[in-house]
Amino acid sequence: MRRTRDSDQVTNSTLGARWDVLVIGGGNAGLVAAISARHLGRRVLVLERAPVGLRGGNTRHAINIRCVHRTAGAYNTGSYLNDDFLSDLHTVAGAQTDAELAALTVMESESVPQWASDHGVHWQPLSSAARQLGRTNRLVLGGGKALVNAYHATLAQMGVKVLYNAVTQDLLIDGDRCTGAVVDVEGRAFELAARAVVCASGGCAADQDWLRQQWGASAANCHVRGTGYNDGTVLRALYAHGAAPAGQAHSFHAVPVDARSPRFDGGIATRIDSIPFSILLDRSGRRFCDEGDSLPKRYGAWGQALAGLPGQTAYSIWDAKVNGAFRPPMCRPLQATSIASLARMLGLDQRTVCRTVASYNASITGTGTGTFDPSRKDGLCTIGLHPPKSNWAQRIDQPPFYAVAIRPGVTFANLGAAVTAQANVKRVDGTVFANVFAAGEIMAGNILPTGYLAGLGLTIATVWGRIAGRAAGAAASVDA
Amino acid sequence: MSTPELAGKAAGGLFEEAERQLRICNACRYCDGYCAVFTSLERRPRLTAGDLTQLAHLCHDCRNCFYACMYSPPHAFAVNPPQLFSALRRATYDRQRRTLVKAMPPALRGWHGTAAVTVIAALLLLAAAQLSRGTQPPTSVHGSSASPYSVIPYAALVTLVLIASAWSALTMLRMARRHWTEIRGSATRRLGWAVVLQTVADAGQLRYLKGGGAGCAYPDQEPAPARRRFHAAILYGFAALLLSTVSASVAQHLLGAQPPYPIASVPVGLGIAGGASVVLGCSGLLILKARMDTVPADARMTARDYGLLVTLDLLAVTGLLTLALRDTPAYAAVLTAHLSLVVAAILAAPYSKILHAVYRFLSILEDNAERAARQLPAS
Repeated sequence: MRRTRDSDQVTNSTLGARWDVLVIGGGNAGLVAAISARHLGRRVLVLERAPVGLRGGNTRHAINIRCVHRTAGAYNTGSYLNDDFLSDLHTVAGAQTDAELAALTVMESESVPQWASDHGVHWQPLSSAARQLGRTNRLVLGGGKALVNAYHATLAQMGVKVLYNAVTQDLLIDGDRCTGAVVDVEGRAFELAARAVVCASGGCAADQDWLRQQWGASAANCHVRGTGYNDGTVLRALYAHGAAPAGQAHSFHAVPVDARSPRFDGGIATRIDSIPFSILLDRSGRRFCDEGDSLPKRYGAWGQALAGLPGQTAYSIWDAKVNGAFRPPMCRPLQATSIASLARMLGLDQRTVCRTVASYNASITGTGTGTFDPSRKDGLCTIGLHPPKSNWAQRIDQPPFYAVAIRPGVTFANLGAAVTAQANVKRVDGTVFANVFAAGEIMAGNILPTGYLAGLGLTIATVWGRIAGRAAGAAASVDA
Repeated sequence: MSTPELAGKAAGGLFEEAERQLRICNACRYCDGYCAVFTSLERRPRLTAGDLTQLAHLCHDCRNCFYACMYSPPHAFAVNPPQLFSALRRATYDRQRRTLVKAMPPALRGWHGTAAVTVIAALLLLAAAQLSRGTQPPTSVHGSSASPYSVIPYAALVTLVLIASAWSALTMLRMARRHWTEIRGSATRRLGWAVVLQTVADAGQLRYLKGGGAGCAYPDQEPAPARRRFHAAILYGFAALLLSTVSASVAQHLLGAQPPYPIASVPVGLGIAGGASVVLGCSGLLILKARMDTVPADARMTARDYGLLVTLDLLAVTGLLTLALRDTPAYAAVLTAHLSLVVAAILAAPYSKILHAVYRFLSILEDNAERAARQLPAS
């Protein structure tokens, strides 16, 4: 079956019809909601904002999914029970998570892998390389875009139509009921009538206004790792119609990314893994933190720290000794035979940088405190240096020397819309939208008001996509 | 800092572009489960030309990575491994061919080249036939007792085919050795029997056309088993045809039975089954190729793919026709045409894409050897 062409989609029958369920968003949550509503026999229309080549929102950049499972298997190294999952969730989210919704998410997660498999998704078997998340998470074979492709194929088999380049601008609300949506399709605005709407349009990480609220003018230096389409248009429309927020307004997850990477949609490949094994300098050429403080792969802490720096930029410098101990940057790091020329290439003050590296090297006495081990805290530390480096401290003295400029890359924002256990969007006045539902990143803040847990995004999208899709399908059977 | 390498193709040649794309793949690694290429890439931190050759031939063009890749066009990073590896494989064929002939004369390129070689082979066959017959007139050649050797005498046929085959086999052996040296780099590890057997199994079941379990995304992004099945039909059909020839030889020399053989005989039975299988497989692949998504393809390589498939299809069709028409006046002509095509194919083999079987086998062998040396499981 050929890929859908963008041009042959908008017909009068599409636009004039009254749909049972409109699904706003073609990521994991939206596609799962559409499939679920279709299983109830409803007429479903999916509104994908992107062109077909970029469909799938942030799901394209995901791969991990975290689900309860009772035993080890082909895709997991051990069991992961409800209590384990809830405990991990509370560790990162604190006490503000909605207990009922969190418990429901965890409980529903157990059936997610089978559901996904039944609808075309394949999984990546464990390899012998010990995966850090192998006990708790399994990987989608090929990653999120492969999942999106599989669900689209399923939707096509089920006879569900998908509109591309369809930007939902607003919902049509009459009292507490939604009667449809205002959608811009390839530059022309239409009003689509519907009996129920599922909002699965993603979060607001690419919302320029929101970014400016977080960091002021310096928002311009922050990258958005995910899709530029997550600008929160539908979320703001929900707020305008009285929806209640969920998730901490200023909370977000960010990791260090290559400063040379694109502003939007850089994805996984732009992440920089060198920090714990290097030294980190700010624009003045000085160190400002303990690079060895957290376990490798605790990227979240770094993202936040970078946001506070002048120019939101730091410089990671390492030498030939550790080059290869971590995943290499997507683009070649800068390379020089001396620290001085490296500093020159970076545009930093040579003398300051050389002094920084020299005093760092001098503080490493190397008196048999252990061996360098990138997989765990190895205790190799500096003596009498401020700020110290508590782990992976080795002299930077073996050319060639490498450097890369780093900026914060926002993965997602925790802010979203509040929902009930049936995925109805809640209102500030205590009432509930009867036929407006939310699934995925737009409501993840209910379960993850702050913090980050690897693999939870795809889990929330699938669990709540099912709940919202079924609920929307049920709501659509009641004639307004 | 400028970022010329971040958007679009690298300014340099194929090597630079390969490095650019594969650095992105290495930083992402979502495709590790599809095939051996990405885990092989991870073991190659500083890419050499030999590394790229190894990766390119390890790739079986299942295209799953292309459709799973969030960086494939229209994304600015423009990552397209299937097209990249096709271009790199084409570079291998060009490089190897340049050791045979500095530049292919225009008259021998493409379709007319194959046709020209076939005509030359036909002339050689007829000349050899005439020589070995001497002054004897050709015997009547149709009727149920028609023997192929009454058209082309046995001695002439065997001599020509053996000379052509010996040259072809030795040449391809040299090319295989060259490929092996290139992909091995500086490795000195030995090959164990387990590794060789594993490779035979991988090649025999066309393992990497299974796409890590997802199927092969061909002709478009819907994973499907068709390509692997059609290819298996060609592979095993071809094996049956070889067996048919061997069994005929056994019948003739050890059992004293001269051709033509009855339909219900081992040589003819294998010939029909093999021929039909090759026709089915080649025709199937040709149809798929006509429908395929061209974005992950390398256009110039595609042209050569068509060349090989059409040639193999013609070989099998003329072979079946020869059997079908052996009791008719057209027998001599069809038999001569078929045998000419066979000789032409043997002579053209080192210049053709049939070598993909050799290069891919060797690359899988190298990959399995690397895994065994590191005690890694199969991909």
